[in-house]
Amino acid sequence: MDPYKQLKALLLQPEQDRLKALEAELQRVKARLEDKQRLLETLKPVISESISEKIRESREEMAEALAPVMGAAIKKQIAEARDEVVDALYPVIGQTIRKSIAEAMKKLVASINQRLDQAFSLRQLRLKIQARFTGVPYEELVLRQALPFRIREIYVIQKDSGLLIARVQSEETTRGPDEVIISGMLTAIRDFAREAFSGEISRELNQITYDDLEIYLENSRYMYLAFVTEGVPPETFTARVHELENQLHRKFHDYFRQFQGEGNALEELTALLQQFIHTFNEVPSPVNPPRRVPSKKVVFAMVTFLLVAIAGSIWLPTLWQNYQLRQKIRQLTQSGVLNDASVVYEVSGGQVIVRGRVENWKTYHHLIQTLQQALAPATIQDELQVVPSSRELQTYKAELLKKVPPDGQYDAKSLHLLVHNGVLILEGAVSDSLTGMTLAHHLAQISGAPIIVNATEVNAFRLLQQFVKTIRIYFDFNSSALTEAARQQLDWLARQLLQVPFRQLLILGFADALGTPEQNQKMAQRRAAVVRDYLQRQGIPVSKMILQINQPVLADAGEPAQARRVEFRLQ
Amino acid sequence: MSHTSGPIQKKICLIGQFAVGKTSLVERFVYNRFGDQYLTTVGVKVSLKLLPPITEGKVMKQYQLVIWDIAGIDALDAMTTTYFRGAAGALVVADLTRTATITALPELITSFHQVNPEAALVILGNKQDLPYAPEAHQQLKSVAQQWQAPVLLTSAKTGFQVEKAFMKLAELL
Repeated sequence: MDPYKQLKALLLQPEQDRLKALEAELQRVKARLEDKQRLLETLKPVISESISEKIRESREEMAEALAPVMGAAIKKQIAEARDEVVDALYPVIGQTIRKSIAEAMKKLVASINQRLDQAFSLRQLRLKIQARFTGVPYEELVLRQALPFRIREIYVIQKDSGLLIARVQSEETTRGPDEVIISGMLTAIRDFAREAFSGEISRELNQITYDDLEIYLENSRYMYLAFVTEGVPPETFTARVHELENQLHRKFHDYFRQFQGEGNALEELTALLQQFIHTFNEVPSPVNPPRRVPSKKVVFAMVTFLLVAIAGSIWLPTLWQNYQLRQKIRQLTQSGVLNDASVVYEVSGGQVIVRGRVENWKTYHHLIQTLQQALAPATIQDELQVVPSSRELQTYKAELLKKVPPDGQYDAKSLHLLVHNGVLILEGAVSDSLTGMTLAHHLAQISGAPIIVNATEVNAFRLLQQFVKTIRIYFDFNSSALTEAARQQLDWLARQLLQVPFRQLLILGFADALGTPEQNQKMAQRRAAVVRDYLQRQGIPVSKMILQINQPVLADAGEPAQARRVEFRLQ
Repeated sequence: MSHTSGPIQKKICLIGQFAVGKTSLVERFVYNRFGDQYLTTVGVKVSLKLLPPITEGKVMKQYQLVIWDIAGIDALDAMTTTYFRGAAGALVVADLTRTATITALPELITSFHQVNPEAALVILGNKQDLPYAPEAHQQLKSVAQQWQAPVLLTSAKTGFQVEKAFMKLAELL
């Protein structure tokens, strides 16, 4: 290598290296400056710190210095890129609005909750009744209480000039400069709205909403009224406002027409307006409501509600009971326990009414007993009719005759059973009342009927007369001696004859056809006499017994043994 | 009917073409300040000024002027004339530096008079602090003569004769 070059390299190499490093650094800085993003990142901490320090030192100076620039910049930015500005500010503004709304809602919810917590108080009950009767939803009434209606101010403003005739507010009635301006501006706004929107049809501005205030405007001939209110107005508000307008017009129309802006308002006028405000502002405070005498309508509603509640408390359990009874009856019918198609079951007022017809009392008892057991403790109202068929009655009679044979105590032929209005009646001739009672008792057992009307007739003579005709005293061949059986029969007959008064007892003697007519005549005579004597010995007066032997041989006697006999007739 | 005495309200209108200085006059008169903001909400701004008590014969009276500053009347329309209703007087304002605003006055005054025939008028040449053509004043005087109304030159900027203008109108009410 050339020594010169070698020397040069030795001497300049460090400088050259440094130069290269500087060039590289320069390139890097240049690149950073050209790249805005990187430049901002570099300068941000410095600028930020510097501005913060400056603001700390002199906030007002900084504000003064920056205000025109920033103001102009913001205006320009808004003019050039409104949407971008809106987008940028949206989260901040949105959050502020949300916070504000959340605060307001929190208060509202707290107020409503307070009322709902008192949902069972008398006032809330009244609200519910009021809602029921007026058709205004309960929630709206609660809301009305949560946002109580108040009239803050009433303005009476001359229509054309906008001059303030009177102004009354809820607390004080002084007229200040502001309300004169307000009445003027209200009139201007009203005029503006009319001119801007009316067209061919005359329209008036009736309401202005400003934040939480509502301004209601009521038009009159020479003036208009402006009511500055807050809260939800009651239904009667509009009608009352009309009334007030009419009243004011009637009383003060000359004054309104000639008003020249003079002096303070009429005392009479302001008094009326004050009264109007008080009428609406006397709403009970939500926390400690003063006692108010409820209106007739409310009292009526409350009384009605209480009556309905009392009736409901009585009625509802009964309804439930009725439902359960119907279910049980359905089950019994479906399971075949109650299977009589001619019987119906009606459930009402917690009791079961049974209607229809059944054929006999046993079925009736079974049915009632089943119902009582199944539906206890419900009351069973029995409106069933037992209407036995004639066959059923014949069965009873047959059983009765079997249980109580006639034996001369009653006439089986005359015995008759009939049913009238569900009651079993026993008719017939009996020898005495005991026999009638015995028959009735047995009939009750046989039929199961709860009531037996014992209509048997006690007629011992007739009964005995009938019975005596059936008595036959039989004798052996060619004999007039009384057999043992004959004696027993005669004993019974004597007992009956001693109890029943009679005039005559005819004793008819007969003989068989085996002997001669004379023999037979004598035998019949003798047999009748034997019977008479026996009866005489039993106490029957002989004077009342007459022997009668007209035809000693009976043509239709049949067997000779049947013909050898004595018969009786009682007179 | 009884009522206690108090200041008498009088509605007055400020009328004149756009940017003649009506609002500035009110600002100066009512709030004793000069501002360049112009309120154009519904085309009117109502202000109030309680004047010092005055003696009319043996009776002491105090007026409260309800000033309807009707913004920028370049073309009369129904809405503008609606605002005139019930006015006891008007300050008719022209810009001394723009004679066109003086030329437009007769039409404005006629319109106002149709609504309020009894109303008092005071004609003002505003912006007196600025250079203006001498014939402007003359022109203004001839308009005023036509309506038999007093003329005053005013400056809302300096306050020159502003109060006097309002007081003059109050005297005529």
